[in-house]
Order: sequence, then C-alpha cells, then structure tokens
Amino acid sequence: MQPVLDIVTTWLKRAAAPRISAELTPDTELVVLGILDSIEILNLVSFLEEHFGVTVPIDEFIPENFASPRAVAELVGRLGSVPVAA
Amino acid sequence: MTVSDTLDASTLIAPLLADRAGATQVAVSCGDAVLSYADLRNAIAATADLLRHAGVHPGDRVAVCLPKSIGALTAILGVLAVGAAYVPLNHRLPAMQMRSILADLLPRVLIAGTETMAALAPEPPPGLRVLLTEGADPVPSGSLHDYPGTAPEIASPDELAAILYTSGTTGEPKGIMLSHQSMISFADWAAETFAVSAADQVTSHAPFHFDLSVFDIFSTFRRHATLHLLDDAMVRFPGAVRALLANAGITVWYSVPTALAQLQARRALKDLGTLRTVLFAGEVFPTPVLRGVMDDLPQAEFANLYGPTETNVCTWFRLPTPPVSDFESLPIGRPCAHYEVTLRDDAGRPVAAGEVGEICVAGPGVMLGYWRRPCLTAASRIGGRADSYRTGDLGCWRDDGMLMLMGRRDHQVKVRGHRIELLALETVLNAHPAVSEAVAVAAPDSAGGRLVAFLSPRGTRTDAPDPRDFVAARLAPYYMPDRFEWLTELPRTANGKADRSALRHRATNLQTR
Repeated sequence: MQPVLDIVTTWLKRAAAPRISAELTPDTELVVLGILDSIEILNLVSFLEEHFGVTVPIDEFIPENFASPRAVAELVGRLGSVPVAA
Repeated sequence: MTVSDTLDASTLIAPLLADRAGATQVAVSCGDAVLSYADLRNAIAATADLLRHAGVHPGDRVAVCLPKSIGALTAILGVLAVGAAYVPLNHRLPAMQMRSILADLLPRVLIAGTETMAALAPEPPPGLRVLLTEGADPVPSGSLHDYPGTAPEIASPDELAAILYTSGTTGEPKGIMLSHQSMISFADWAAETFAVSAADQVTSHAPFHFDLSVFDIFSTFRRHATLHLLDDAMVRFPGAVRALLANAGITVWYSVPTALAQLQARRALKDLGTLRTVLFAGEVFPTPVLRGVMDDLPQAEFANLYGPTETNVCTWFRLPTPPVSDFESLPIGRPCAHYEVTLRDDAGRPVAAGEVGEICVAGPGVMLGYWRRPCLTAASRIGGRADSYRTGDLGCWRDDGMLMLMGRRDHQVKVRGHRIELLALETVLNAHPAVSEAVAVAAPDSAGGRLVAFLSPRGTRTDAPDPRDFVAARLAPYYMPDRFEWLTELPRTANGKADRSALRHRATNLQTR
C-alpha cells in the first residue's frame, strides 16, 4: 500500500502547483507560505475523507494539523490508523 | 503631549483615545497576543510618532499592506491618529496589481513587510517611502526606506479617513473614499442597533481591506468592547474558529454568508451559548443553509446587512424567525438611520409602487467619491447630488415596506434572445436539497450565449432530484442552464465571496457537449 505521505504529497503537488515555488518536502510550511488557500484546504479535507475513509472532526480541523505534508499524513494516520510512511 | 490632545472629538478614533475605558479592559486579541485599552493607546501614540517622523501629515494617505495582525491594526489606528487616511491593501495581491494601486494612490508612506517589498523589488514605484515592518509587534519596529524619484503631490479631500480599493472586473483599481463622517455614521448606527457594549466580545473575521471590517474595528472600539482578530491562517480552519468562538465567549459575529456556511457544514456552530448576534453581508445567503445556521444557534438574533462599499451598510433586515421555505428570498429590509433609499428607472426617475428599479442611496454614509476618478464618481451620482450613489442593484418594495433584492443590472443577461435574471435561477438552485450554493453565469458563444450553473454540493444526498427537473418544474423553459457543473468548492475572491468572474471564465472555456 502506498504510504499516506506520498499520496498527500502527490495531491498537493497537483492541487497547489502554481503556489509551490521550491520543491515540496515533507516539512514545507503549507499554511505559513500560503500554499494551501481556503478552498484548497477544504478540497484537501474532502480528498482525505474520501480517499482514506476517515472523518476529520472539527477539533482536528486546525492549522497545526495542516502545517506541513508530514503533519497532514500524521493526522490521517491518527484518524484512520493507516501507515504514514513506508 | 498625548495623542488624544491633537484630535478633535469628531474623528473616528476619538472615543478610543479618550481615557474613559478602564485601562485594563482588553481592547484586542489575536492568538496569544492581547492588548488592553491602555496598551492600545500607547501603541497608537508610538505608531503616530513614527509616522510623523516619516513625514506623514494630516490629509496624507498611508497604505497599510500587512498580514492581519495587531500590528496591522495599530498601523491603521496610528495613521488615523496623525490625521491621515489609511488605505488597507491585501498583502497577497499580485505584484502587478499592487504596483497599479500604488501608482494610483501615491501614498506618503507604505507600511509593508519584506515579502511585499521583495515582490515589488524589480520595479518599485518611484518616490515611494516605505516603513518596513512585519506587523508582528504592536508598534512597527522596522526601518524607513526611500526609493529614488519624486512622487507627484496630490491634494486630498477634507476629512478623508480611508480609501478602500475594490477589484473592478476590468482590472482598473478603484479607490472608494470614505470620510470620518460616513464611517462614524455607519459604525455608531450599528453599535446602537446591535447594542454593542464594553461587555461584548466581537470577532474580526473580514480582512481589513474589506468594508465589513469597518464595523469590526470601529463599532467595537467606539463602544470599548473587545475585538478578536481571526488572522489569515485561523480563518481558513473551522476548528480554530470554533475554538475561538467557544473559548473567548464571542457575543457578536459578522462575516460573509460563506464563512458561516462552512462552519455549519462542519457542525462548528453547535452549543455556542454566548453568541447573541450574527450579522452577515456581502452576498445572498442561500436560504436552506441559513436555516441550518439558525437552527444551530437558536439563542442568537440574525440580521442581513446590505450595502456596497460605496454606501457602507444602507439597509438591514432583522430575521424574526428562520425562513419557512427553502424558496423564500430574504429581504434586505429597511434603510438604516440617515439613509434615503429610492428605486429608479434607467432615466433616473422614481419607479411606481411595486415596480422593480435600481436601488439608489443618499445620505451622509455615502462615499466622498472614487479616488482620482471624477467622471466615474459623477456617473455614480443621482442627479448630481454629491452624497448619493446608484448601486447597480435592482430592488422592489414589498407590501410590508421591506426592500427585496432582485439582482444586479449587469446580471440581467440575454441568452438566446431571452432576458434572464441570474438571481432568480440561483434562488431556485439554492433551494435544491443537494445544493449548498449555486452561481449562474452566462457565457458568450456563437449561438447567442450559453447559461452555465455551478453548484457546490450539500451533504451526500443520493435521493435528490435531478437539478434539471428541479429547474424545469419552477422556471420558464429559457431559464434552463445548458450545463450544470458540480464543484466541491466554488472559487472565492479575497473577500470570501463567490468569484463570478473566475466562473464566467471557466464557463467560456467549457467545451460544448
């Protein structure tokens, strides 16, 4: 099974391509750098919920959990107990 | 000398600078940062000193281009304390638009961060003086930079308090000049009507460059209430907004409908007992979503505020109860105090009772004019009256004296020879059980134009009727969109409204099936 981090990174590269100036690493700051705008955040959550079959509860829908690709993958891991990285 | 000595009582921030509010009363919070009214007054005085040192005089214009923060707020208030006008700019504007606004505005000083200046660096506007700061601290702690060249001098109109730029569809920057009087007229009416007091915890949801912030900042501070800033990051995360609403015991909320809809979709509005007043403005609230929001907040009063930036809020409607039907349109209500609202035909004559006409507004709340656009200003006035404005919106008085919004003059489109009111189509689609928000656009093509409806989904209803059948059952056949496009989220402008020009562009590019 493809690790969550890879899937999240692939999604981000496609969705936010125009706003990614340098290479996207697991620790790229998504919120601080404005890579995730308000629409993309909602789209990302829809994607996570659909693709991984998890539900992001309101208390987890906070900037800290979307700070970087790694933080997003960890959130998914926490919510769905799927492997985060290979 | 304290800063309050230099101001007369009629300015926007005079009540804030007066020492009436308890020194320890909290004026503003943003994340972990908190300023009392005493702290805020000190920060304003220090910022004002810095601006005077930078050569800012009464009547000057100062552009404030910072991320939403306490520093951005004190910069705005410091500009007013010097007697200058503040011009809030979206710090995420593309460099080309920023340059075009700065070239139009010719500010005495631009207060901006390194990121903005890096974006402008290839061609900084000549004669620009920049106060470089990141907005993280209450008082700008940065340095002054001068760019070579001389900026032309332009006389300012009297009593100018702010210029708010709107992104015209043509891309030409358009600066709306608001006087102290017009902003005070609105801020005090709103504070009075919604009983804002020192006990209130008010949100600042809108960015400072959006006119909704006039209520947030000035109605709050003129009544010595507490303002809670939702910064650029927080505003995007329903969980963070929910935490603020609950932990700060927010009592008054004001935003575009979309912001409330997004919170409601995540069930983030439940059990917020302190929230007593919910105000919304800026676009039409889809009725079924509004009913959901009102169900989640049974204790709160709701009001629909209407008015383009040019007039401030000029009509309002307090919802006595949630609308009973999904198809019910919300009135924009009655004129606010000091406003005269009339409906007129294309020739500027008042229309007969019950007829649809352009909403025309007059009174002290109306803008001074468009910055350096005398012809555009003149064209927007009614019969040359200087405190009047033709909104471009269409309205109709209901029998009970309530004003109903009937769409926009430029949203009345002709598709294949039929006149179509896009708002009528959107109202029907918004009532569809699987639709959260609908935007209809007309795209030109060789066959007389096509109608495209963009829909964002609500919930996961599988038993919902086909939108095509839904429209067919309720509107004339020529109202049938040629295409229905489902989008998980509709594109938004920087102010959070549905981005109609992006959708028009998208509709034009759709291949005909």
